[in-house]
Amino acid sequence: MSTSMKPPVLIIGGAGVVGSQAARLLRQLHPDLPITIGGRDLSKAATVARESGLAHVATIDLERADLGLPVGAAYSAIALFVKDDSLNSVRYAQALGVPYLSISTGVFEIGPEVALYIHRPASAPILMASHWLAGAATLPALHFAREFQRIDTIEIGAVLDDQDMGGPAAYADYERLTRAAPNALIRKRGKWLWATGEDATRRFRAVDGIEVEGRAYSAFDVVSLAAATDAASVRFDLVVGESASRRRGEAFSTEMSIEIAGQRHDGTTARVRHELIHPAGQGPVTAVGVAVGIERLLGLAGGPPAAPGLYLPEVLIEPEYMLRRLEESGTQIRRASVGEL
Amino acid sequence: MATHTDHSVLVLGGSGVVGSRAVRALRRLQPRLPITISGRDLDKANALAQEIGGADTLKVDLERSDLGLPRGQAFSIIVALLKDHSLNSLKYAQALGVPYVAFSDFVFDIAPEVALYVHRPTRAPILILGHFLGGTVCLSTLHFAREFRSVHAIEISALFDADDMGGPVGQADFARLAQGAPQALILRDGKWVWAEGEDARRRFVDVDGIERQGQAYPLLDVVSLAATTGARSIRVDGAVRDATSPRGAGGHPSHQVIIEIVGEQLNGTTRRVRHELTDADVHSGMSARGAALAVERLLGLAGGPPVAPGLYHPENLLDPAYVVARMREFGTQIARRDTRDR
Repeated sequence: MSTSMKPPVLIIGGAGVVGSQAARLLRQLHPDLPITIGGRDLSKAATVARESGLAHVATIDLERADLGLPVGAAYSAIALFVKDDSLNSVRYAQALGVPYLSISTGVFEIGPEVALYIHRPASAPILMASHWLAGAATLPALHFAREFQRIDTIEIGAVLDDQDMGGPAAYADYERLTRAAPNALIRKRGKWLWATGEDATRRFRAVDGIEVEGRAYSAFDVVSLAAATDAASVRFDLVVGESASRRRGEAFSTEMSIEIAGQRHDGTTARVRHELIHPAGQGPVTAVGVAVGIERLLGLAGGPPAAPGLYLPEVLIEPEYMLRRLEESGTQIRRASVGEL
Repeated sequence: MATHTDHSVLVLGGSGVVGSRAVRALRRLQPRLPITISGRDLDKANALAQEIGGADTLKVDLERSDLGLPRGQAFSIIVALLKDHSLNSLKYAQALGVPYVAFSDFVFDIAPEVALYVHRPTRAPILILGHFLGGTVCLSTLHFAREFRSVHAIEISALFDADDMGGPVGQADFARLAQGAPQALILRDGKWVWAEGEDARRRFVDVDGIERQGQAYPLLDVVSLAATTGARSIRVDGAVRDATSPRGAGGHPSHQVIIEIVGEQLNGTTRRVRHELTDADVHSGMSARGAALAVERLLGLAGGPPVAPGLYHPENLLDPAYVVARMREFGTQIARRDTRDR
């Protein structure tokens, strides 16, 4: 079936700062795929729809079980750029039997969504992509992990420029995640713990070599990386502040460093560091994560359409495919250092 | 013919306050089921094994992926009545392809387990059973909800004695609560909220008619009940009664659970119905019975065939009426106290 025959992909929050970039990217990757931009503000949605072409708009009311959409409305997938406190959007996707993707859930707050999956496991594919920038750190990390036969430690350090907090939805996520669970989940020497005191912070080198202090953050990356690699220690630390490019007097950027320590296939032990930088900030990177997730769920890339089930990005998406899309979008990826241990 | 239950039920944390009760309850339900007890106090575990018969003990090292057990060891199910921070026991169950019960999770704790399920969804049945009192309260609530056509609100209240906070495992759980998500997850008017301050408190009237100040807890019951009933408001609040606090003249048992449901009944009227559960044992007793009922069900010894690989909450496996009947047999008093129009 050609993509233009499919019902549209509904992107809720698709008129927002990050959502609109995802809609444009999805349009660019799949010119025939119909898209519906859903939001509270129809005029904003209409602007995004006009710019991305082939897109419709819909007013979404997350307080209603039918999302305020007409009876008989059909979509091929639903992606969410806002936190749906009612989870009506999950139930709606389950009722339609179409894939669902969300990016705004903290690792401590997945209970309600998981319970909905458990109650209707065969109804729809649910992709939990609430990882840092929708999987743009975890999937590259899994690619970099391939040179190891055993991984002991994975440490990700992200810098989010305080001028690059995204729109109100992203800011609300940050507020909620750091308030309801002030201590983040980390895996330390084989044990999961809610980090407090010294465990809660980590000093790491930013991409310009300046040392910064990050704070453990409750994104999904830690549980995905632990499940995928069995690493005994996994943590994700975030700095909200000045990015390296702004220290140089340029515009803000988004940065990640991924350090993996373990035993390589040749038997040597090493610590390998990679850096990912996007000069336009977190928006285009998150857009890639979501667009790749949607195309994979629909079977437009990387495999057949995903069957009903509960998913994390790394069980559906090839790390190399994500890396290619990230590079195409302007993400700079470099191998920064290798240290023998 | 050999069956899966020829192998032993491995109970991790089987000698503790909950564990010893769970082992005894399981023995009462299944007189011939082989049980292997692992606990931090091997003397206690040995004494318990002796007491119940058909049981042995084992030293387990949760720091190791093979649990420190010899290669080729087989079990029919692994029941973790303690919080396994390594999750090695879950991975071990997946490797064996046998059911696993995770008993000590708050609602904010489950992500690492869920990720292991997502990575190997067809390996083993995984039951998330961190629910209040081993799922018995959730299942009871669903039983009581059957008199309603639609459920609007569910309020669960619990009263404990200060000296009935469980053993070291239970106390460690409360310490983790303060570090993990100090706020409570509640469903309020259809929205999930991490409640703090006044929002996290609710006054309720206990079984003796005394008003108590309750504090909401982030328990899995709220997500299970939301997914099952469609209620728009759900919360679980607990209050601790210290030695000097007034108790009812009747000298009521040490712990009680009150389940209040507001909804539209089958005859069309909207009512609030209150059920009171009281039990003479410490509160861990009901938890233990919940765990035993879950083991029976997962193994296919009651209520249906052995459970297929997948991710489960208790209400997806157990029949509410069956659980309530068994709880009564075990000695829990259940009273439908009061209905009034709203």
